[in-house]
Amino acid sequence: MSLEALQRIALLHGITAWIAVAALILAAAALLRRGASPPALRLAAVAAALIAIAGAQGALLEEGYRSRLRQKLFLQAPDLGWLFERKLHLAFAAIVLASGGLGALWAARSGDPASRDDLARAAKIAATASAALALAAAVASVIVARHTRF
Amino acid sequence: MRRAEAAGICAAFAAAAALVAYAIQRVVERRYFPEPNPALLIWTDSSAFFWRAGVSLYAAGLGAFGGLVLARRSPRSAARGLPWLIAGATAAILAQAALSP
Repeated sequence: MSLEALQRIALLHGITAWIAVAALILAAAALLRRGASPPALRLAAVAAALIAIAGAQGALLEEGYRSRLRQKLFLQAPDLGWLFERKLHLAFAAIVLASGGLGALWAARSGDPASRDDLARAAKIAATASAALALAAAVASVIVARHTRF
Repeated sequence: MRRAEAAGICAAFAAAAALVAYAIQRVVERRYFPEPNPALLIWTDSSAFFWRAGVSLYAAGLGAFGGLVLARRSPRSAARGLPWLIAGATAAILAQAALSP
């Protein structure tokens, strides 16, 4: 992929990721305040979709990062290199937790009343964790990007 | 148990399994199969991250089936255990990211 294409995708990835972080935080807040309600479900679905799109954009950048930036980053600032490795782990976790939380929320809305509270609690934990991890990953990305970018 | 509820529970179990699998993989990688120093590595044709993600998604499939079996046999147990599973999986990935990036 050309450098220009990588730069464009990186910009799009950053924008999408931050919008996804905002959506995840809103979804977690809605879940915590209103429980397994229809607005919370819609917000959770939108947030899960956005973070998945951001993840797909990040996947497109991975080869470019590995071939053009990774060695340079570790040579110049190993701490930032390891911070970016952590960012990858947290981003993966955020995407997975957003999907899992959406699943638990869907089950809470559709399921048997006896299980509803437990499923809603699982959804709240997953949604809150996803929002926190996505925020941490986004902040880490900004810190690294200030030093090294395409 | 309704299909929508079962599907949702499967997705949640799958997520927990994926996170635990990812964390275990990374810890095992760092401990037993360390990669060359990234500062000295010019390029590699395989992406360790994609491999870990792929294997984690495979584990997610296993988790989904396990969740389905448990949900069918004992929906209350599946629901009761899910918050702990999600919390435990989150703690696992956080510990891995902090200690073994």
